[in-house]
Amino acid sequence: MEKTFRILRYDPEKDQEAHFQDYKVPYEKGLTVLEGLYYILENLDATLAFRSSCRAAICGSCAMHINGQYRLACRTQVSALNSDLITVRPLSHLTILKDLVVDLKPFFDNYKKIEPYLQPEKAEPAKEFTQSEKERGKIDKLVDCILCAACYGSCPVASTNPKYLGPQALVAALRFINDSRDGKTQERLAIVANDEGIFRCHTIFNCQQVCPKDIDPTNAILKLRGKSFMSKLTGKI
Amino acid sequence: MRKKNQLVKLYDDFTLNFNTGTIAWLLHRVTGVLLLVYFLMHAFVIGSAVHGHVNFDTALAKVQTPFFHILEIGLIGVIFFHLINGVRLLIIDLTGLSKAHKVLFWIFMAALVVFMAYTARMILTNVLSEAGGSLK
Ligand code: SF4
Ligand code: FES
Repeated sequence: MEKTFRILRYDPEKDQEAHFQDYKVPYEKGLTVLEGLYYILENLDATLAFRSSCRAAICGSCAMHINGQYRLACRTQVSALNSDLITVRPLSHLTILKDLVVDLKPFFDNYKKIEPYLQPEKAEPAKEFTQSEKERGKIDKLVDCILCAACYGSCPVASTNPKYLGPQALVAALRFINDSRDGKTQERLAIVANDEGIFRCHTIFNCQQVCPKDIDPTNAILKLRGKSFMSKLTGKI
Repeated sequence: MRKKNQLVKLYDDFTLNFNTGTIAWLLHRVTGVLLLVYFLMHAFVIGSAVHGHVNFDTALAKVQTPFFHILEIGLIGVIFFHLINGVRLLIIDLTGLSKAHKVLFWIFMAALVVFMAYTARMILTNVLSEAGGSLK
């Protein structure tokens, strides 16, 4: 049995516009979309460009638009798509460098804006920071983000304003705010509580729909709204 | 590659993320714009009162026709959608029930259908009785 892979191709050195190209890939049980792409690369067309690394849904390199939704190619079983035609496009809202490879700079620039590293207020303990199970529970899920940018690609607001922090950066902001070891809660809220942060979100829920780690960035944004509302009310930010 | 304009990008986002959230968001935008157009027309009709009651009566008479009454069904639909979708987002925002957004959307859409069937019947009955007919 064969499956048709319809892939959006674009080579900046020779193409004016992106265009679709079809490839026939032999199907066997267990084939993932990423393996299909590797089959094409190794047997049919060595010029195809795409990103991948871990092949285990943990590095976040292989997010792309596959049959109606942004997904991780390595975790998407061809059989689960229930179709003989697999249409693959790169992530939206980011410039295509070649084929399925996009320039992630705007995405990571937004991530950097929320200062994604621990900033403890208290003096560093001699040995280590301890966290109770309950405290750790508050950052469960949020720490699972693999920076795949599927949420960013799916968010129509990110398309209208590249300065919008985007779902992923806001998830990361909440992750540090909820972290019992971090001391910069109010400063972090001040970074996100503006019209390039939580107030630009139109609550469209695409990020929730696509997140391969089931993080629900929309919910993170709602929580940040609640927290910044309280901080504004009490004059802390 | 050519830069896409905003409308093309919007169309792409809509087709690439075809799910309830996107549909609700787009309808909310479209009904918002329609409401703005309506309010401008509305202000224009009401504003004619500034030039005396005769002016106001003529302006009003122009929109008191069966054609406009039937358009009113659409207007009420637009207002109702914008209203209940706004309420849906408020509920989610205040309660954090983000995972319930699809269920809420369909419950509210069912309410919209019932409400609109009632409204359409009421308006059509009035229009017909003014024209001397009846729905029965
Ligand atoms: S929040 Fe989810 S979709 Fe967004 S970058 Fe992280 S893992 Fe990917
Ligand atoms: S290859 Fe690492 S997430 Fe898919």
